[in-house]
Amino acid sequence: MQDDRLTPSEGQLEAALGSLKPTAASVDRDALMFAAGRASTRRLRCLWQGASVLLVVLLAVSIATRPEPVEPQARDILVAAHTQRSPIGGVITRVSEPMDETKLETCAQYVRLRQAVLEGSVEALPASVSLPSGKRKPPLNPGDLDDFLSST
Amino acid sequence: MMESMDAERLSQCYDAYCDRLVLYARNWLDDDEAGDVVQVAFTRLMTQVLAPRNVGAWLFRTVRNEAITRLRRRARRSRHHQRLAARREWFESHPEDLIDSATAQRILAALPDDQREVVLLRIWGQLSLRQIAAIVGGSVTTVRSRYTAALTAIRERMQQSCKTID
Repeated sequence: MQDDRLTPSEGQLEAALGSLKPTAASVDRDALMFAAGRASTRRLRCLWQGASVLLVVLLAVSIATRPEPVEPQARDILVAAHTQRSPIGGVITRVSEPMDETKLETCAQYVRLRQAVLEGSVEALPASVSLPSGKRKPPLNPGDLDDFLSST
Repeated sequence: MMESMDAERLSQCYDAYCDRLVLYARNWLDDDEAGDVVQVAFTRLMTQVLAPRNVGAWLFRTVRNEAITRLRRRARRSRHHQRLAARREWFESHPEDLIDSATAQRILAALPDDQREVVLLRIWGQLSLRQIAAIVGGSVTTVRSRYTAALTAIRERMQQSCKTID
């Protein structure tokens, strides 16, 4: 209170009044301390509740705004070829890429031969396989066979 | 702002300010409500994340706001003035006191509200005029003029009281 300049008489009066002591408060000290302690824990509880609500809201928003999974799109390629029944009853309707006609015939021949061996025995194997005249047997690799089987 | 409050600090604040705060709250409310308001102020103090820099000034300001809120809510202002002087004693009475406590209470109760508030904050709240100005929402000059006017009025009324006794 050094910044408060008072005259000497005012200072004396102030000191005289200040000598009077306020009567004891009718506040229950224990009740006050208990209430204050409970209030301080309420603050902590509110903090946790707020954090929980925030997390729930964030979770709900993330679920609501979740992007749809992108499905792989199949690319259809129509093959201009005559329909031919495959040995296992399928019809060649769609292939991933157009296959060479000679290679197609070789694959079909292989499947027919395999089916005959599975149903009969090794004797079912022909002595020799005849190819259409003027055509040379193309080399067959596992990739060609997979393409063929997947297209049937 | 400082570190957060704990039970020990609250206990110290209670011992230092409780009686003065109740005396200050009696400026507007009766004894029971004054006690309630002070309890509310201490409870709010414990809910502060960080303790106020000046706990005393913060408590007086909180008591003031809460008391005025209650007063407005219950619209008791007209009856309040009539009952102000009829309350229980504000000060303890001791033979060695320089001023008679009952006389002081009567003179203080007769002061205008704004002057009485400044006197209570200054003498028993032990706050500077600058802090009082921050609490009551006025300039330091205004608070100083209220305070000197109140002291002048108190001195005159005490002199009149002494003459009456003589």
